[in-house]
Amino acid sequence: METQHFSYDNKIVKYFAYATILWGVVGMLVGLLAALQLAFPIFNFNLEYTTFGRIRPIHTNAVIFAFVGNGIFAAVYYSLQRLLKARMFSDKLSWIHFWGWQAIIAAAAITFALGITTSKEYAELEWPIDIAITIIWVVFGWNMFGTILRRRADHLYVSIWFYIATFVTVAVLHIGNSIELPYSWIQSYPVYAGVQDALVQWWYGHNAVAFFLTTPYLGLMYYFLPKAANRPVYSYRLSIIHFWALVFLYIWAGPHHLLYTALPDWAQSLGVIFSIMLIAPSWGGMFNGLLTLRGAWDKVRDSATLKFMVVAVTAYGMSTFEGPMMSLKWVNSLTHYTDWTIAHVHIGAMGWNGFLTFGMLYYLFPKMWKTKLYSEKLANVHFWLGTLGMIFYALPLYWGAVVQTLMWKEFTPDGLLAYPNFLETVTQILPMYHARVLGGVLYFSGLFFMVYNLYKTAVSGQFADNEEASAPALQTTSKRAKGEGLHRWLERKPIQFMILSTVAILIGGAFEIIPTYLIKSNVPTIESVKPYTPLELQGRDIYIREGCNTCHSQMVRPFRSETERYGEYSKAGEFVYDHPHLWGSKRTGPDLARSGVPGGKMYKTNTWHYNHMLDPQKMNAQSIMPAYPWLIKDQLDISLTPAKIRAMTTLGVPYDEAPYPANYDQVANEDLKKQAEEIATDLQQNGINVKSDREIIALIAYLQRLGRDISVKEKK
Amino acid sequence: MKLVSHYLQNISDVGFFPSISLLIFFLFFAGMIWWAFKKSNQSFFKEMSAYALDDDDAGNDSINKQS
Repeated sequence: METQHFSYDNKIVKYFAYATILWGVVGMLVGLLAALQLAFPIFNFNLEYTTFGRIRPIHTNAVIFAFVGNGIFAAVYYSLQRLLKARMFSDKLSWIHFWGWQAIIAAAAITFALGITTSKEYAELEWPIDIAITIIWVVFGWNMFGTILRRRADHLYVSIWFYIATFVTVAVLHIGNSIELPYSWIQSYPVYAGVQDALVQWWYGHNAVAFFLTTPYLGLMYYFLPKAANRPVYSYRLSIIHFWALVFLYIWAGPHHLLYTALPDWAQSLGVIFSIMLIAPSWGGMFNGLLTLRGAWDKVRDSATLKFMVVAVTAYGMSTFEGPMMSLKWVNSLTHYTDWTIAHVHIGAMGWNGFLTFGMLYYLFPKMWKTKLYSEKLANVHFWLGTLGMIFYALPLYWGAVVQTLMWKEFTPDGLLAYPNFLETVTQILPMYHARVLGGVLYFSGLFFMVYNLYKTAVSGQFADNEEASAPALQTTSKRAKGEGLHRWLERKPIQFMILSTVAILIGGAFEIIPTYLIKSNVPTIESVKPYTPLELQGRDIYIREGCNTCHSQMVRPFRSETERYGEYSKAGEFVYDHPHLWGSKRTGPDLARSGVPGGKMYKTNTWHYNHMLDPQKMNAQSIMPAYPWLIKDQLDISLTPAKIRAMTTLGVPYDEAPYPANYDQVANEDLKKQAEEIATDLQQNGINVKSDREIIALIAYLQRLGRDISVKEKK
Repeated sequence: MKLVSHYLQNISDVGFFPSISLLIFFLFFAGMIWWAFKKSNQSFFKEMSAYALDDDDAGNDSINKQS
């Protein structure tokens, strides 16, 4: 057999590794700011660009898509070449991928700070950037499959299956959830509304966790853990079974993010069942990782790389046990909307993704620079700072979540809410928010030790952009060899493998989403529910721009503790005109679904809203809500009203039917001004001198509309 | 979206499709388990479990080891 000489592209790996470090520092620093803002609202700086509602998506996106994303690509570009004994398919594609991804990250940071967002969690980017992501993702896939097809190795190792599943599923998820109708060169409305939008969003959101934060990192684990420990994988058989089970099961579990909401019951039950089943394949992966170290635990004591990896895999086991538990309905009724969710995702992000990335970097730098790690001691300091950081981050939040949820649900012997004032329950757990900052500081400070250590390692070594290698050419046989099993044949056939894994994830996705289109009773129509007025629509877009939904839900669950506090529970039919839905997933502040019901428990006057937006701490000294003074200063941009009305009409909102006049988009602004004038007059009568063309007027109009349709019906 | 649901509603017995897909999934998975536990595959598994270890030129691996 002829031996071929070629080289591995190490330069691209180096760049992705640098990028993951850089964005890791940025993303976690922004996270620290977010934590500070929740503890001390002064850190919102009274600036629109730095309020929590905008900072939070910058933090989550930076950590997920910039830090972990570049970590994935560093891992894939390093391990894929070596597992396939081939250089990446095209250097040009590699570099388009690298710079394209960094440009998307920069665009994300800028647009989020400007308040340009779709409001859908982890899919907040607007349509032009969505298209850019699609293109760059295809470039990545093209490069990967090109390499796979040119490989010199016969079999596809398990890591590569995880990479393939990642590629196809993220593509399907991203496109499926990002179908939106632009109404300006940068902004859009999603085609889905209400319940469907929520279902599609959490089908995406849940599986983004699965196929962006989990499968590629399992691929990473299956390559780097055996390498760092110099031990074979404990059970290859287990890896096959848990791979297919994971790919099949994960996609079904999305609805567990929507328990007790207005989502149909059957979808909720489906989500719960599949979530529980998910424990099996997840723990299969964890055990396979940990047992790979059997007989090598003495190495763990001496190697920081392995320490990071062991804690990462353990954190994975913890999160994947906790997740299914949180999707049990009775547990969920306690943990949902609380900081428990935040603690849960941080065990995953800091533990599983963060520590595995750090472990990989401590392995890669000495390897690529052909030297030893500069200081094992400093790496150990990083390890302990990170571990303590995680503990100090998560424990206070778990504790705070339990305290707060019990306070929300506590009744006096007379049957009244024990803590009717939501703020009381926030004030109670404020010390936990302070402690959380400490955890963040510890975790973040560990990064400095890593950066210094890796820098010193790099300068002490020699880096070669291209690493020489040689391997025999691949004898290609497309036919199945005698006695060869189906899977063994399959795993030599990357294209067939990709198609099968795509089918696997599509089955679950289709099962979940299609029925909401088929069965009318899933979304019962409520006659009194009417489209938003143009002013309310504009106000709703301001609500989205400021990220109000990051802290305020609009979904009253059918519990007495919630109907007592907020009012009538939410129904699916109320949201048919909500493009996008704004149910939210966390209650840092109270639910707002019933804020517009006159005489309701959540009702506040126009004047109250005005003063509260201007200075929340003046209304409630202990409030942690940011101030929004610019809403009072800035004029409402009504030039887009016609385009917005047209887009909504296209999406099925009946602005083209009676009682609306023909060409309503052209006259909508007249309605808008009339309604704005009424609100401004009301404010002026209460001693507030404000012009009717300010943004605050639109936002007040929207807040006063929430839940009003249902209350009208009740009066009939 | 109106268009999509219109067509979906017009396929007769469309509700049957998810059941078929579930069946396909189950059969595929059962086959996978059977294959994974087949005796004749054990040597292949053993070979594959050490697959990641021998992708480097010899000698490099000791660099990162402390022991």
